[in-house]
This record gives sequence, C-alpha cells and structure tokens, in this order.
Amino acid sequence: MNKVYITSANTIIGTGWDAEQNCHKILPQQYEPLLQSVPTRNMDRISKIALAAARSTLEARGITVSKDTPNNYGILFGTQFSALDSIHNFDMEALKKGALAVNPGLFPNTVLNAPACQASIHCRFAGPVYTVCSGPLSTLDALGIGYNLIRSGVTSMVLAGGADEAEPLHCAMQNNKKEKGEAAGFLLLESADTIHCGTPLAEIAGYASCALHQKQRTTLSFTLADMITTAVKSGGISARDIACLSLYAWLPANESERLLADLYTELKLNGTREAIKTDWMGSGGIVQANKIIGSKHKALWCLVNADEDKAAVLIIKRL
Amino acid sequence: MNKTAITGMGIISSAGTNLTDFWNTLSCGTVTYKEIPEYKADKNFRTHIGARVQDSTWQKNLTEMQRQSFGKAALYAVSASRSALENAKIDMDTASRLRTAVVLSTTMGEIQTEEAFSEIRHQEGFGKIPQNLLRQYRTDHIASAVSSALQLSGPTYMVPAACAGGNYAVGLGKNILEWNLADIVIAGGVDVFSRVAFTGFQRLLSLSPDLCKPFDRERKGLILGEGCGIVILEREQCAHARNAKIHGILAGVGLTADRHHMTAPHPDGDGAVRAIRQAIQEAEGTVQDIDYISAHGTGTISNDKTEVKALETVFGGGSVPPLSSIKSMIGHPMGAAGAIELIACLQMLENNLLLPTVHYETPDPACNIDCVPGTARKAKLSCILSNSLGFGGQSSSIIITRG
Repeated sequence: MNKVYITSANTIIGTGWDAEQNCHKILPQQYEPLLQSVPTRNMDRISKIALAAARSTLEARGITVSKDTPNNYGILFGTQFSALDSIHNFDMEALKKGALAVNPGLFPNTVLNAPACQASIHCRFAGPVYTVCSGPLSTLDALGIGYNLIRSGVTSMVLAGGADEAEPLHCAMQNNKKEKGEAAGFLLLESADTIHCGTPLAEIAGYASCALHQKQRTTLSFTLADMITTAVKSGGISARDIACLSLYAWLPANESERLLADLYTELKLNGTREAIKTDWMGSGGIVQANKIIGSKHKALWCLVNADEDKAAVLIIKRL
Repeated sequence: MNKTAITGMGIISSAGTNLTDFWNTLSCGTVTYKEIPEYKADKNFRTHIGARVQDSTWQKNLTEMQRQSFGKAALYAVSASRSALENAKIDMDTASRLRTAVVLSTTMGEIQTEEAFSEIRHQEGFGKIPQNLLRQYRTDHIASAVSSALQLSGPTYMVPAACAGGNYAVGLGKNILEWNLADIVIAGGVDVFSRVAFTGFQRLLSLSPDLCKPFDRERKGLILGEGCGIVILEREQCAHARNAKIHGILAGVGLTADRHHMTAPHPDGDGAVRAIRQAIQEAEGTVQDIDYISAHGTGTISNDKTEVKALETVFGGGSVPPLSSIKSMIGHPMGAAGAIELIACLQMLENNLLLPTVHYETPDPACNIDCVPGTARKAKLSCILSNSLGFGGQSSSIIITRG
C-alpha cells in the first residue's frame, strides 16, 4: 500500500457577510483573479469557486499539466449541494419564459458533476472525476476516497476537497439557526512516487465512513470512537496518539461540545479539541483540514464529521 | 486478488420493473418510448417523445411511510435495491449485520422534487415551498434512503457522474470491496424523468422527434428515459462460500476524463479510448477477448461517431466486435444508463443472446460497425465490454466475464 501525502492545500473561506442569510460569503474578488484565461461565460458560481480553488492548489505546488500529457490524475469533489441552485434557476427560467426561451448555454450547469468536470477540463486532469455528495460529510468523504485511490495505486495524484454555496435555496434547505459559511478548497494528495521535489505538508494515515442506523445514533460517541479506532489502526497507529480532535456535526453547538467531551472520555485522550460551530454545509471537512495545514503543530489530528444518518473520520499527521 | 462477483440485480425501467419483463421486452426488440401527452399539449415543447416507467408494481416493496417521505429517485433506489438483494438471496438481517455499502449515481438527483417546488415558487413565492420538499431535494438522501430503509451500516456514497454514473458507482463499489471497507456493496444508478433535462436537451437540439436510431446515418438524436439499475457486488470467495449464483465477474473498470468540453466529446474519443484500454488491462485481457460491446450509443450524430472512432482506435478498423445500443428501445435513462445496461449485459451473458439495435436501416460510413440490427442474435459470450460516456467528458468502461 502507498503512503499518501498532502503536498499542497488552498481553501477559499468566505470573507463577505450577508446579514440576511446569516452567512459568510465568498466574494468575487476572492475567486475571479484566480480564473484569468479561463472562459467563464455561462459557467455557474459553484463551478467558478471550485475551479479557482483547484487552480490555486496546483499553482501553490507549481504544477501545470499540459493539454495532451497523458495522466491518471483524479479529482474528488465533495459537495452537499453542488449545482442544485443552478438546476433550480434553469427550471425557474423555463417556467417564467417558456422552455424554448431558456439559454441552452446554461444547461451544462444543471448536471451535479459540472463543477468537478470544469476542474478536470481546466486543470487537465485525465483520470477518474468523482463528485461526492454526502451531506455535511461531503469533503471529508472526498478526501477519504482520494486517500484510498492513491493508497491502492489506482491513481498517483488526486485533487480532493470540494465546495458549497450558501444561496437562499441552500439556507432554506439547511433549515437551522447556525451561522453559515461558504468555503471551497482542495488538498493535493500524492504518493511517494510523484513527489520529486518539495516537502510534504502532511500525511493521511487513516479513514473510515459509515451509515448510522437507529441503534448507533443512540450511542453515537461509542460508534464514533469505534470508527476512530478502526481508522487509526488501518494506519498502524494508536488512538492514544491523537493530539487534536476536531468535530463537525449537524448538532447544535452545546450538543456538539457534549459529544466531543464524551468522545474524549471514550478514547482516553489528553490533547486539544474543537467543535466547529459554523455550518459550512459540505465543506466542513476541507475547512478542518485547512486548519491543520495552516497550523505548525506537528501532531496527529483526527477529523470527525457526523450527520443524522452517517459519519466519517479522517486521520492526518501534520509533518 | 479476490475477484468481484455480481450476485444480484434489481431493475426499474420502461422495459420492465422485474428482470423477466425487462429481458423479454428487450430480447423481442420492443420499443418502450412513446408520446408524452402533457408535452404534446405544450407549445414550448417541439418534441414529445420520452420513455417513462408506466408500470407501478415496483412500489409494492415499499412502506407507506417511505412513499410519503422519500423523493421518487430515492423510492426507485430503495425498491430496486430490495429486489437486487432478493435476487442475490441475501436477507435483510444479513445485509444489516454485515458491512453493506451503498454507492449510487445520478445526473440530477431528486429532480421531480425540484420541479414540484419550482412550480410552487413560480405561483406562490419562495416562502411557500414546503420544508419536506426542500429536505427531499438533498442528493445524498437518495443513498441514505437505501441505507435507512434496509438498516445498513456500511459507507454510503452518492457519486453523480452524469450519464457515466452507473459505471462510476459500480467502479467505486469494486474499489470499496478491494479496500476492505465493506462485505457487500449495493451499487447502481438512478434518474427520474425530468422536465429540466427534456428542456435542456431540446434547447441543445439533441432530442429525436420520433425514433432513437443509434449508428444509423439518419439518426436524429436521443430519446430521454428514466429508471434505476442496482447490482449486488461481493467478493467471489464469499459468494462461493454461501453458494450464491454468480451472474458475472466484474473483471475490469476504466474511469477517465476527456478534459475537453462540458457537452461535446473529445473529437478523437480520448477519454473513451483510455477508459476502454484501462478496463481491458485491469481485466488482464486483450482486445481479442471481447465478444460483444454494449455501446453508449445515444443516437446523436457526434456521440455515436466519436464512440465508434474510439472503438476503432482500440480494436482496429474493421475489427470492432459486434455491438448494440439498448437505448434504441428504452431511450436514455441518464445516470441509470450504465447500471441498466450492465444488467442487460449480464442477462445476455446468461442467455448467449445479443440484444439488438432497433430501427437501424441506413449504414453510416462514419460508423462502420456491426450493430446487431433489428433482431436479437445468438452468440457464444464469455466477455462483454460496456461503455458509458457523460457530460463533462466523464468516460467509463467496464468488463464482465462469466462467473
């Protein structure tokens, strides 16, 4: 099995504030400069912010893939909503103006894999292109699947991460009182074979994901502790080595804190812990991972994402 | 390495909502698309042909609560998954006790839910959209509905990949078994009939006004369809251990990207060529091993031409094995196409019969292939290649062999 390294990372976190939606929005000036030379006419906003994040991650690593270079590089795009807003806007336009009056140039935005494919087209990645919709677990699952694709040798390099928007439709679908935020980001994952120059920032050391059925929901901290133990074991480490635990859950803030404390007791941990309070929708995992890369704390991190009916765990060793 | 066995199949299609009807319809060359009355009555639609699931018997294995709380794509997925498990002779307790994963794909997800609340918004305003419809619209709820209805605890993924979706889901399912993340995988694709898709394809001038005629010189475009195809994947060793019937071995998967254009295929079929070669390589075979190809064959001018070009690149001009497109009978079920066609391939393997491309009359010099025109044909089959190509340049090929 290959070791899987994180060699580059970039996440665009919304810096604008939309009081009406109670939401941190990504501003045009945060992504448009990153799209120079890209024909973006008819490209929807979710594709633009996804592509901007993908390009900046590759740029930070100094990688440019030319048009005809054969490669097996993959894209794992995690997103709770993807292009749902573009689909809805296209349909509303057809209802208002009639089906014959809609702009056909907008139709390609109505497939849920559009943002990932735009990244593949413009970054010239020719391997598998996965869009992963796992609700709030989306980007963490995308990182986990990307990790396994490289670990098993299916691909040698993967851009894994994702993006979500917080338009009025998404906020209405979320239906919670949490502060919301938009984020788009990717990690560049590579095996030891492709790292010719540069120093890896971190190593992914384990991953687990599962559905939670009714019985497991009532003993959530026990189930999550079990998942963490499985994930670290797959990387040949012990859960006791975890220095930082980060939880992103659908629960209200106080319940998240309580779950985190229970997990700490269950795993007998001593390090730091944090419950993410903002609702980043599907981008919670990439926001958590971005924090690790931003920190200089060389330690073993455990990222946990939990939704009502599923959970995922990713273990990252900051180098 | 332990091979991946396909031990169960579940189908919801305009050609039938059980395996027997599906096979009988296709092997007789029966066309299942027809005029859609509400589109005929609407001046905004210049074409009116579609392939919808007419038979409602697929709903019989669903509970009333499921019918009320899930969207239609989720209902298709739950029903077809139950049928596939039943076909695999895996009872619900076993599926629940083992690590059973769910990997599904789609193009637009719960699109009929979106269409329902768009109409409400159009007439009454945004604030009048009911919360239950907004909740149903979440794409991940399709796969979660399967996990929750069957009380499963393995990984649950929705991996939309447009019309290549079925193969993408099956490919990831195979990986999940190889990575030892699950013991059983429920994999497949689902899409429901959609006004949004119909509108979009109409505006792209991709819809045929009458017939779907893949590879014919007079082909005019695709016919939109719907449906759900689900297969059960297990390690071959486990399937043998429980004396399961193995419908086929998932021997190779190739997943690539054209990296060219959102709607147009690469002119040389770049992604398709690499996907086919990758699948053959993973199956540890050669081009000579392929007995038959289930083509993507949508019936549009450029897609059919590019697919044939890709096949000629891999197999050599004049050496492409017989191929056909069941889309000539069931239209294009989008994200479900790959999985539905995989089920048809498994049935062809079992019956040693090639399903036909119907309505093929005039050869196209740009598509110089044997497309099994008109009627089904007997053939000795042991290895089948199935292609699915999607928007965004998503290309996929899978190879199945006899178990």
